[in-house]
Amino acid sequence: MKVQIDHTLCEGHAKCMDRVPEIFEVRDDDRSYVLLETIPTHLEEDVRRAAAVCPRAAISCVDDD
Amino acid sequence: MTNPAPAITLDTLDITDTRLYVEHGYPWGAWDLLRKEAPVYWYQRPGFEPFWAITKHEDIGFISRSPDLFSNTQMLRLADTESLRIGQRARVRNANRYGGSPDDPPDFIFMDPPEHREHRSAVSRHFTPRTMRSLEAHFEELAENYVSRFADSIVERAQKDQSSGVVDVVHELAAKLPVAAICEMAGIPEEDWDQIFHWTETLIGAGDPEFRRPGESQEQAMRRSNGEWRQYNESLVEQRRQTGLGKDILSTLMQAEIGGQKLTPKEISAYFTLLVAAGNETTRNSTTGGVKALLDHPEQLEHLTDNPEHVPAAVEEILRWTSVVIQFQRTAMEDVELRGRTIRKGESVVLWYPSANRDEDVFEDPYRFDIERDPNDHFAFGGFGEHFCLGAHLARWEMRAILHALLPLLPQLELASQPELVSGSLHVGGIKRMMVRLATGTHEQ
Repeated sequence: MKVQIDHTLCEGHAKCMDRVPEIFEVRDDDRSYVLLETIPTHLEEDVRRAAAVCPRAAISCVDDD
Repeated sequence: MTNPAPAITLDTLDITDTRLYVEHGYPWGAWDLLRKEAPVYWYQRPGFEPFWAITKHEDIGFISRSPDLFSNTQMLRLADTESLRIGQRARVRNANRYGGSPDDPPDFIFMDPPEHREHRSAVSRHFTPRTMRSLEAHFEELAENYVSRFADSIVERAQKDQSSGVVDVVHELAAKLPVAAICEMAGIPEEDWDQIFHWTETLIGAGDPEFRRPGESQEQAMRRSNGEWRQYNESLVEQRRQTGLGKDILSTLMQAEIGGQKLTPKEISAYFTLLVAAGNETTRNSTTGGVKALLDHPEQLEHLTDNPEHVPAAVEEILRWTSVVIQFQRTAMEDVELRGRTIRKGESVVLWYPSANRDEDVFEDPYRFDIERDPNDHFAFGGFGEHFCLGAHLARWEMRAILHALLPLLPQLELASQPELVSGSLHVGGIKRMMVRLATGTHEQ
């Protein structure tokens, strides 16, 4: 699974970083960045949950085929 | 805010009668029943256009994430047909006076993407965490001042009346910081802040006779208040044209270009009104409701005073607990299946946020006030998605500052009476007055 963050939507609420700090990092520009290109299988569920609770719905998960 | 259990049924429940809100508080029991038995419920009652009542957290989340399926451009806030008529007449008058059409979106909440995104982002930099961090020390200083004046007035009142000093939390504390913060950010001089507060109170509370002048109808009060506010607003714009633009929000709006076009004076005024009004009422009510929640739960208050590092989490729980914004409305752009019901294109859905914030599928033991609740994915700022509250960071920073400053004083206070609720609004659950006094044993007689 891969993760994308739409920076035109992200407003730095940091709920993703609170949930999965291994994957998301909110930087000084108040935007969240994805730290790993491919999400490790054991974190996929947490990342999906983080995407679901993003206040701006800025995170999308793309499954590998 | 307990969970009453009167015998209600789907046929008899009422979630739209504002008189019931004033007499009994939010209709928690009716929402509980709807979530359990009819989470997508076709609600038909006299005085209202029928709508789908949406009460589950998951469904409100889905609709909020789907602006392509559920539009903001038509009906935005559920209101009785008479209030809607008043609103429509105001739109016509505004168009006659300021140009444009009555069908223009009154402000950017009434827009869908992509227009909504362009308009929202015109001022979003004023509401980022970075901006809040730069204001944090100042907010803390303001909060300390307001709390210390609040404490002084309790003591003064106590000495004067030889009593325990009864003081109103709403006007003498909770209203102060939200007005100060948004007015400072908007470049409004301090001597005008009381007047601004008064206007926003009338704009939102015109349904309540207390905010009208003697003999005035709801519509007359709104017209007067709107007119005065517009005039003031125009004077601020004119001032900036003459003496130059600053770093305030109004200056940003005057420079903003959307699709290569500057905003019209009507758009600037509407945008500015939205920011000032939205920034005042909601945070004031959450703060007042938060004081009540902590006084109602002394064990939680004690835990918080012992562990002030929990203030941010406590603020989230207060936001969930008070759920000040009652509902927003959307219109289906095509037929949508939801929990086995078919919402037809053109039908309206109403999103009941307080109900989502008590959804037992999301919040364990939802009627327990727990300052350490984690996670706490409440919808106090609306559902997650396109229209999530632009001022959420600001509101949080303000509430944290007030709560931090108030924490040492809170355990010495008690409620002197139950809060008095603003009548006539189905949009914001307002508290008009909430009297507190020094708790028995904490004051000297």
